[in-house]
Amino acid sequence: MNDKVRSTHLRFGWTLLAIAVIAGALLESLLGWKSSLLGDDELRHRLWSLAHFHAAFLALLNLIYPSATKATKPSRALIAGSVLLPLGFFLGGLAHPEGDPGIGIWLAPLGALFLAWTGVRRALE
Amino acid sequence: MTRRHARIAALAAIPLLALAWLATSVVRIRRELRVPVSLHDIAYAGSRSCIGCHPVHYRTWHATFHRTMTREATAEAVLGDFDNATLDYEGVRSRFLRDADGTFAIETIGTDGRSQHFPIARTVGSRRVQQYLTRIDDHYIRLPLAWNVDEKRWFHLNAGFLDPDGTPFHQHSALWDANCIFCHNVKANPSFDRDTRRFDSKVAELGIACEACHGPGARHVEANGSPLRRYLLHYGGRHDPTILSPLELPKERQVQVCGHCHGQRLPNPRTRIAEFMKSGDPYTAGDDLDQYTRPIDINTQVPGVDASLRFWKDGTPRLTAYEYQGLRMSADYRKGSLTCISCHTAHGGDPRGMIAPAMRGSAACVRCHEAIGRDIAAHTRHAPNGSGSDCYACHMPKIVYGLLDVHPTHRIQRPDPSRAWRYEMPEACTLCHTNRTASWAAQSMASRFNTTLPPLPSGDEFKVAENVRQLLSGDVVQRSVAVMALGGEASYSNAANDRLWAVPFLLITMDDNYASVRHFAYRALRSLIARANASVVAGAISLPRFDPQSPPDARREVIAAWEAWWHALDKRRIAHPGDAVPLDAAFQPRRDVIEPLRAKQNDRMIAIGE
Repeated sequence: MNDKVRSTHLRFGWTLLAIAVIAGALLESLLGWKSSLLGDDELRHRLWSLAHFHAAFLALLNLIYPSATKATKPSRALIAGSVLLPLGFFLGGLAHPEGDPGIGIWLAPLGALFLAWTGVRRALE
Repeated sequence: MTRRHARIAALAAIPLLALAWLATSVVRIRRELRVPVSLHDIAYAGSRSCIGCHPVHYRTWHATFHRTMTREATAEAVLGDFDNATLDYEGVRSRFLRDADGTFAIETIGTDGRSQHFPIARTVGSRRVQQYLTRIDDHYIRLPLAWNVDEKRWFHLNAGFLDPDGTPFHQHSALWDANCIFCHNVKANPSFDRDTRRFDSKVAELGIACEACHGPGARHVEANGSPLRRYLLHYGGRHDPTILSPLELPKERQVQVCGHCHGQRLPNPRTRIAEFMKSGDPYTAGDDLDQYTRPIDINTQVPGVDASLRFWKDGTPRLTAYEYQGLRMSADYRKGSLTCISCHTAHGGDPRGMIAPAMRGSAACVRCHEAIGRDIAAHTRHAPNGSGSDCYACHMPKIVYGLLDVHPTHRIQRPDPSRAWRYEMPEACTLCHTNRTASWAAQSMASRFNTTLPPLPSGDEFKVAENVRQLLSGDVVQRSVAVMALGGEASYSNAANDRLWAVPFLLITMDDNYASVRHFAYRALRSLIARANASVVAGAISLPRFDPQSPPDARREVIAAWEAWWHALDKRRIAHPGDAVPLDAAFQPRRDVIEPLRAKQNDRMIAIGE
């Protein structure tokens, strides 16, 4: 296994996992204290939950990626997708018009494209 | 071209194609947004189609009484007591029950005088009063028995309308398909066939829903299935021509959206009624309402009805559902920018009154009248926190009858005590200063505000406290307004017992020949007693309950019990209201003064149009 692939994805994966766990704890705290930041806004609640979930899932994917691939270079597409997808959900919930996520949500499908690209590349490997 | 170059080209083509699609879509949508859309050609989609994109607006509207204006008679919608409750009125016992299959039903006499069983099909109203519709063949009939939501009791509609005792039992059994349907639903169409004389009524949605104010939404829903279009609207600052936002209308059209229902009107020309009945109300939110109808005013001629009685003699509406007319007469509308939604909102705040939270109380007024707000006492010459500095008390006094209550007028005016004798109407000052004459109010105002004193009235009747004068000699609306003022919270005095002097006048009024006035009198009595010092009014709590629609003997028995209580009460802790109130030293009405006034009582009937 390539050391660069391993070190890049492990460092990124652990960092993303730490962010996801801290964000999850913050989300739980907002819920626990019935913060108006979440309580009055179902869409924000949903989008931030999605951001948290996707960040945690993609962190785990980055952690197992080095042992699941023969790639010789770190996957920039996987890293970009792992940043853009949760970031899109987070920004989409930060400030949004009624009934729709904020414009930052458009990062999410972009991130999904990067992740899809990674999947296709690895499948064809 | 190498394989690597081909791969780069293929990779670059995907985002370029996506960008090209995005750009052409944006151009197409922007072009489309510039094209005006006639809402008349669009289908109605129903309020449920709005939730997805407008959850907050949907939720706030859902909380309003607009939504529940007309409903199918489900267990959730029905508020009345149908657990075998009974109501005795004019010798008729009506029963309210549920059939074996759960259907709500009322057993009462039909128009033929025989007892009948009426299954309830729909409900109308949910805030103050709930009325019930039964379906007979092709049409719905509004039954004359209704539920008083606040007081949780059945009553006959003759007490809700301004009818004297002896009015026929079925006076207010109304044909829903030709009346109520127009204002209590979205886009009503009676579909009346003149040849067969049959209705096939349809509404876009029962109750007052989204599309009543925003216009038909099917195209809006369809068009905004595209996220790109939505985001262009969200962030492009553009108006969506497929839907109406009343906020974006000029003020005349804006108030017409509300005035469509809150401003009694007649088809224009009158002969157009046939079109209304056959094809439905042509008005769609945003239209010029005057194209189709004319608001009823004091000069409107209605065959068989004296519509002028629905207005005070200065033209101010004296009934609810004329708020549109009142507002259009107000300087703040005519010369300023005040519209209905300056104060009211369908999306937020207390559903009762639908006043925006930021517009509660005087806040609504001082947003524009900032200088007055900075020193309210300098403007009102009253204590800044008392009733005398409440903008509504002076500029929108409660002089309008409707739905078992007296409401603020929507004709916003300066107070002018001379209206009492010039127009024979209640005036703001003496609705609080209930123990004072209109002349006193005029003199007081002239000296406090350094204005010219108008010529004062000469008749002896104007030497009596104006509220008491109108209570004894006025017509049914004057009496209703006066009696509610006697028990109202706005007052010249905050002392708990100071206004108990009104009790004997309320007891006289509880013997009025209009059940609506008797109802107000008893409400005012209970209100005064509830606010008085408990030790002063000891014993009142055990007095019998008064039913304004019970038989005369039963009513007089209750009144006699209250009179005996008042007679025996130790009145040393009750302040005498002064010479203008015709009470003797024992706080008993001076018959020599009140009987001549009662003899002048105006007993003209006022038809509340629907």
